[in-house]
Amino acid sequence: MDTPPVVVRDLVRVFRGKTGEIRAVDGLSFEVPRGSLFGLLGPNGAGKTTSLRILTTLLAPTSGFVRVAGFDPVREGFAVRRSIAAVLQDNASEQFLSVKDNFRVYARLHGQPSEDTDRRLPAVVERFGLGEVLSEKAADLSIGMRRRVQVAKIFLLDSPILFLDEATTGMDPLAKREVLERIREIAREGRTVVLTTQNMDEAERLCDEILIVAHGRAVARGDVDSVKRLHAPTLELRIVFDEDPQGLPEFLADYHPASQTFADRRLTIRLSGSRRDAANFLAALSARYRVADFEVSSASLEDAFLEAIGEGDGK
Amino acid sequence: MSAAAFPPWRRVAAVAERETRFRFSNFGWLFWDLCYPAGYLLALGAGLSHLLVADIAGGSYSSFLLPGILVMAGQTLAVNSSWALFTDRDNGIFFEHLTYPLTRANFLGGRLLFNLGMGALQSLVLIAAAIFVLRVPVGPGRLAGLFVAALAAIPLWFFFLFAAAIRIRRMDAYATFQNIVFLGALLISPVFYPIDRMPSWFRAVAYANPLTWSVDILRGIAFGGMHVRRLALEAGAYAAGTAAAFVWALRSLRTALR
Repeated sequence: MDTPPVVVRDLVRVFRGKTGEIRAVDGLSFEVPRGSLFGLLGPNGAGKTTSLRILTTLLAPTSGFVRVAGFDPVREGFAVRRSIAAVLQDNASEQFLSVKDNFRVYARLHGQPSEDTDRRLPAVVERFGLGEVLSEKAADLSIGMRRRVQVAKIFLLDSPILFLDEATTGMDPLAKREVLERIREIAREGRTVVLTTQNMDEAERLCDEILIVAHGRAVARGDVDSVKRLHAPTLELRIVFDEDPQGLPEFLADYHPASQTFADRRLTIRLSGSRRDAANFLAALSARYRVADFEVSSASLEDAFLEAIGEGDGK
Repeated sequence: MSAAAFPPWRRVAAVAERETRFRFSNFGWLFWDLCYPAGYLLALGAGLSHLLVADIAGGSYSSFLLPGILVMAGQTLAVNSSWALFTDRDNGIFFEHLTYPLTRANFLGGRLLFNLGMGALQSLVLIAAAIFVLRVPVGPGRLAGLFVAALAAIPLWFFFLFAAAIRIRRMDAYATFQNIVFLGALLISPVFYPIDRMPSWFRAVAYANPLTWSVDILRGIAFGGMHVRRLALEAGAYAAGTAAAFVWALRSLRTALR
């Protein structure tokens, strides 16, 4: 059987400071299958970056089992580093070098022959819109542009496992779209991507599977739809009536709505259940009242995220 | 990427190349690296040689000064490398480097290789200035030995200050530490003056100073007249000190984020 490129079991990382112990990661477990996009989601201080630092050999875990490309990041750090490329949270760049030299030095330090770099560089530069700043020093670029260079570098390589820590932070929407598209292509090529993000829209569009972490612990895990169903299992229905619906409160009471508002012949109601339940509700409603228009939407990943970390409605 | 496709020597060379590009991106740094020690040698050598009536340790003051300035030049390179680490850490590239397919020893080795290259240039500049401007009588047979010994004096300071810069994270704290170490090592050593007639406490501290060991070795190679046994002892102590500093730097690098 194919061993997952990233395996984490019961991972714990404790920081000891003058004010006591902080359990930044507290028993995380997950596996990332080959060729998939895995998202680590969580609020600030949830333990996402610490987990990524452990996976990229920068930090040693306090306890737990970790394997990246089949290697132990502590005992076999070099073997792990040969299989990965990482975009860390800081806007890391070779500040005093030109953008072109940033690419060359990066590829060189990853053992890529110069001719391969020269062959790949034009496409990467074009995709990320860096043609006009190639000879500028990284220090002279805006933060967003520097981030773009930092992320673009990993597309020069063929590393089988990529770790991206808040990779699109600070980028403009166009660059962000390009990065997300390229990340998707990478996964289609069979490479594995582990990313952290606080952007739920990004995670929803990109990830095959997500893990929501809070206080170093996993609070929800699965594909985006199942996490949404599990943690925010409500559907929101917006209905417009042709005339004032008589006896509506009594009618709605039978469906036990999570919430409801009615004004100017417009009803907004949140119901628990599946889309089939919503269809049945709409059928019964339209049989009794004259419905002019309706719209059904499911909860967003952000709703599920807030519910999972305990910040949702009523918590 | 296979290990064979990226062998250790290429990894070390890649790090050294990165350091070279980094340092050559600023001519102020180059001036500091290459010309500052030569300025010391020329100013002190030319100035004090004419002021001092008596020769020192059987030769001119310029001759006395050359080995000390050669060692000080290597120490200056190590200081600059340690400061470059702060720049790299502040903009995040240092930690990104630690995720690259390099061993920590490759990382240190590449930076050391760069320092040795710069040290070679520096030594050539200094020896040429000493011979052609200050008329220091270094015999041709001793030149190669002097050059190699000057390079051998670099690693201990490089590893020591690199490790200290990793462990002392605050720039202001490191500035204080580095000034005390740099000036302390220079002043309590035979770099600028003979220590034989100094108070016993001064000599005791000076003999425990690695700078003294390397200056003695260079002076012995350049001009002779020193006890072979003492030089061997100092060379042994220097080698042990270098090994200890390397281990400390390696451990510091492995725990850079802990």
